[in-house]
Amino acid sequence: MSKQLQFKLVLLGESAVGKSSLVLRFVKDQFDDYRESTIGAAFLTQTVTLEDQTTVKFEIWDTAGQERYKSLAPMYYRNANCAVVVYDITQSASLEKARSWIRELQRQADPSIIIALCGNKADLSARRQVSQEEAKKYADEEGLMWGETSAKSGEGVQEIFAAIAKKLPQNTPASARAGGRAGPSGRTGVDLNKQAAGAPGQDEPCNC
Amino acid sequence: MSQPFALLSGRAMSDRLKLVVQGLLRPSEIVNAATEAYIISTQDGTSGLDNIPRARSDLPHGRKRVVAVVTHFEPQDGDRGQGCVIVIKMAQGPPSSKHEYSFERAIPITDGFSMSMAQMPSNTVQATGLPRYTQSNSANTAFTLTIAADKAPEAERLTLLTYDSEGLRTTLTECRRCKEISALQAEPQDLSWLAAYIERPSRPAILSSVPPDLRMLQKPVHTLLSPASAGQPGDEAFDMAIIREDWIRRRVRDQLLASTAPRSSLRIRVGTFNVNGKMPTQDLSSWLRDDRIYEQFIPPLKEISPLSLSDLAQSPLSTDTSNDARDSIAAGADDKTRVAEDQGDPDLFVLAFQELDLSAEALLYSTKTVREDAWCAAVFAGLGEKAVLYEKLVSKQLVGMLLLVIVRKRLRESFSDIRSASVGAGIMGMMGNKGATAVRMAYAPTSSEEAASTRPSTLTFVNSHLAAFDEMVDRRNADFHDICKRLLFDTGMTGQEPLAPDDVSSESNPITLNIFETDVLFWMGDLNYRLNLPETDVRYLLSSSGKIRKSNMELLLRFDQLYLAQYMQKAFENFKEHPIRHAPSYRFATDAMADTLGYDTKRKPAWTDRILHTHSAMVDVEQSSYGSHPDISMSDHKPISANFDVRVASLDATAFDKFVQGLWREVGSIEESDEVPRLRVDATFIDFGTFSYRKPSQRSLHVENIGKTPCTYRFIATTLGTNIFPEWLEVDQVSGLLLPGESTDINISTRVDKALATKLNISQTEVTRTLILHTAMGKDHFITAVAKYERTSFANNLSMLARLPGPIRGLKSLNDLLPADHAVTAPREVMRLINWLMTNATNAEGLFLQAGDSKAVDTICECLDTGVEFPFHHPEKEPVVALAFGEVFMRFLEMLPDPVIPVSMFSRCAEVSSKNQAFELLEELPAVNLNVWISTTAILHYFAQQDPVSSRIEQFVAVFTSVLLPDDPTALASPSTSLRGKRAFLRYFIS
Repeated sequence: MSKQLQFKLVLLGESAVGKSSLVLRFVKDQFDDYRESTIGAAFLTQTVTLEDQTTVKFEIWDTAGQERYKSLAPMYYRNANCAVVVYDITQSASLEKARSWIRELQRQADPSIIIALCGNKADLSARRQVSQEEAKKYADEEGLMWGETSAKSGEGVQEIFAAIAKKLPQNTPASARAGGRAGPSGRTGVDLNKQAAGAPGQDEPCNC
Repeated sequence: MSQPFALLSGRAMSDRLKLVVQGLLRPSEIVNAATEAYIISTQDGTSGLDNIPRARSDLPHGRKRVVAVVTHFEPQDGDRGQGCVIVIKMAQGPPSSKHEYSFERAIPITDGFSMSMAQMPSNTVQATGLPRYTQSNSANTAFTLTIAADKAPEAERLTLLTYDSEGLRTTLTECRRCKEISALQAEPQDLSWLAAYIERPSRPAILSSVPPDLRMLQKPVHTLLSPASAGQPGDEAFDMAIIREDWIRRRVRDQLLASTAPRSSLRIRVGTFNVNGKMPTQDLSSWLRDDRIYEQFIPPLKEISPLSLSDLAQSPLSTDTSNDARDSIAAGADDKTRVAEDQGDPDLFVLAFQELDLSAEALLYSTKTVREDAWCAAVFAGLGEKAVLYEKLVSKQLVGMLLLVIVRKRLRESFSDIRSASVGAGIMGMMGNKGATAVRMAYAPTSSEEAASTRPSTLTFVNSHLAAFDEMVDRRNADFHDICKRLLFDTGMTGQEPLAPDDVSSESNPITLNIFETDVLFWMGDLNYRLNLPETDVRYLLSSSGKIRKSNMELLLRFDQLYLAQYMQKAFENFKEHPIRHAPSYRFATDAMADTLGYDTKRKPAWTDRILHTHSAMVDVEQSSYGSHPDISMSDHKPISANFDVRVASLDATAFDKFVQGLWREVGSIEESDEVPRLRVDATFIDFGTFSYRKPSQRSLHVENIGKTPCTYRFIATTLGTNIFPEWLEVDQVSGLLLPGESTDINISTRVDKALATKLNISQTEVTRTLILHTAMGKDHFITAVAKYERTSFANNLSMLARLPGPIRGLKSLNDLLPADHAVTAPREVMRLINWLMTNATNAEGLFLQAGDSKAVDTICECLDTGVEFPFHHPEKEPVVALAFGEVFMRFLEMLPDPVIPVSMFSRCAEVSSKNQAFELLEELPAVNLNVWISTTAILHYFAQQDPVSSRIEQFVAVFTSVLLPDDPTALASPSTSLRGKRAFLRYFIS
């Protein structure tokens, strides 16, 4: 039987950089041109299967980007195994905001947290304000993963989550990693059955 | 989690399983065999395992089932019954609650039924990836079990895997036996009973024949949910089950019960009497039949109706009349019609006796019959001509405690499943000199149609005698909890034989019901709760008469230890008691030892004898009387009685089941849905505007289920262990369930009590908080609430008020307060009120004694807070305005966080014995407090002088002692400062 791992992932970043769209693309492979601003924190799950058949289940908390809710963010990145900090490549201010989130995570989150910096809206590169070099350089300095994505076209989305999945520790039991009771634990048995039955549209390995 | 089962031997395990399964079934079904197995395939293969796991420990828990052979017995079937195989899906581990199972399949054992087994050969084991066993170990040998409902090829077929060879063997034997019985039956069998086990995947708890524990029902649902906070959703499946169960109950209550027109009313007369070891020597008819409620709080009568031999001569105690009674019973219906049945007559008498027998032997030997029979006869005698209409239904005695239930003969058949129980709580916590006895019964109103069976309601009655003596209140509270825990009704079902020797918990494991597993619970007896006031105060308040008697008695009741225990949630939580209007029922003495009221001079009078009740939403209970019977004087206690009307819905059991099943179909499997639950809230930011102590602000939040699946929601705290809501907000639905397309309005309102007002008056006035509404398996919605608090003159320390630079509403920051040495001599607000009263209210009838017009009260408070002139230009024409000023003035004093005279000085106040001493004490007060005290008492003196009514001073003293020198009855440790002394102190200033 293949290994099953479960991790808590949190999305952070300025309002309107496309956090929810990125998750929607990753989980449902869909895109809405007009999405309402997230007021709260949405919970979703998605499973990635690695080459060695290990399945990695992400419990994703997509948080509100608005400044008003900033004080609640620590509740969601607490016990997170990985964080995706998103900026908009057409807004240089959003990278500044991303930097401040990363500083906060480095200071306050679990020290073993894996942080990925993600430049979204790559389809709008004509209006680019943040160069790839600048972002990459910053990511290298801070030891972060980095990638550009387009939630609209789907470009880079599966790749960045798959890369995170690969980088997460593979030898630790899910229960010990996932931070206690994170996520609706009552479903574990159900999911297992569904995978055995091969639910369509799910669990396809990313093609990277 | 399957460890406890795995440790047991095969035989013990199947016995234990049988026991567990029996608990899930209706009483008409008996378990013959049960075994644990893993489902590996069903005929259509949709849920089959792709490959059989390598080891037993790899078998997914989700596939674990219990296969049980069950026999259903119909009354006309005799001992043959109809067999069935039931497949039950169990939750993790042995089920600890009734929620954690679901019936998956029910396959009747009919002619076509077949069950076959096969041991998995070792090569098969290897081929399918099952483990190779190096030694033959029966516990690890795997068997497959195939069950087919019919011979037809398309029939349902089920294959399971089990390691329990012993259980499998009995399962097969029992199936064979059932099949043989089935073959003997000529006509086709009625299998409708199976519907209870196959109609849906599992059963909601509300369908259980045992009512749920009232204590759970009475807790707010959100307090039962798992701990959760932002980003930490808790145990979602558990929470969904709890919220769903509550939702079903609400639907049943709101849709089914509300619309059920025929309600059957059961009249119950409950009585309690501590007889002090006496034999019945007096007529008991007033206790049993008298509905006249005596004048409020009348002093007990003294020996008005002593022993009446002539009454007794007519009672069944004498042989003549008992023969009559027997004759009339024997004569049957004809004779019964001679005694008119009165609609008002109780259907049930539930009579609790304590100290039936005080002899030492009674503790050690049961002397049951003699005294019980005597009292029972005296009760029937007390019923007079109605006695022939009644018969004894059940009784339960433990040493001196006897609970006797008498039923109207006509209704005897409506009661069934009668059980009794008792528990000792006296010497060493076990002896029966203190403790409780109880009776439990099912009541189903007999319907006109023979066929329809009515869903029964369960009634439970507890008679208890708790620890005596004033200072033993903690012991009484502990006795209550001890009785709640240990007073259990036996169901007759037990573990048939000891299970595995290492399993201590299972040793003789009788299935019991507690007293709260009922629809309505009456608790009566000599609860022995006393009064937390000095003895002189008790007698002083009791002996008052005239206009202040009522308020004095009400004041006395505030010090009742039972009332306080309930208020402080130490015992009898959620029990209701009708307001007491009778004098204390304890302790009476004969002439030499008695005070003028007949109370024993050596004991503090108290309301020791009480009748309380609590019930679920499935029934209505209305109490129409509660009183004592002072004419019965044989004991040192007076008997107490109460009349109740218990209304139960005459629900057809099948219709009820059907209604609940309908609900269950909608919500029974929400936790297994693949749909993402989606709620929409109509606001993420709510501005409450301004709010104040008197003016709460309310808003509503519209929540709609826009998803495809039923959805549960709950508000959660930001971090674990903190409050979900800030102290200034309250919400009417903390959790709930919405079906797809449904919506609800959650009302959110501000709240300010005295303590919070004191705090907010000296804090920032802008308040804000983000509430988190969590959707199970889904999103956390953020709703930000903002509001502005309006400061009020009420609930402030006098010293703070004296430092206000102007009206309190205008205060921007605490830095604007005047320095202490610039403080005014008395708060402006007090002086404004006093000046107005002195100028305008001198002729106001009822000032300080009657409530004022509430609108005027609001206006006055607002003017005090804002500094605006009072808008009453012709007060002489509006007496209600004067009363309103009086009310505001008293409220102002009442709301002071610290009284004008500090609490620490109260005991010295109560001890002063002259006017001079009283004034000397005042010298210790801060100047502001002194001024307020002097001005307040001065106007009281003035108004008392003005009033032609001579008793006015006493009324003012009584009322203002509570306001100016308040008691804290919740300080239970020792009796409060003498109330009489405090009143005397105030009287020095007013008279």
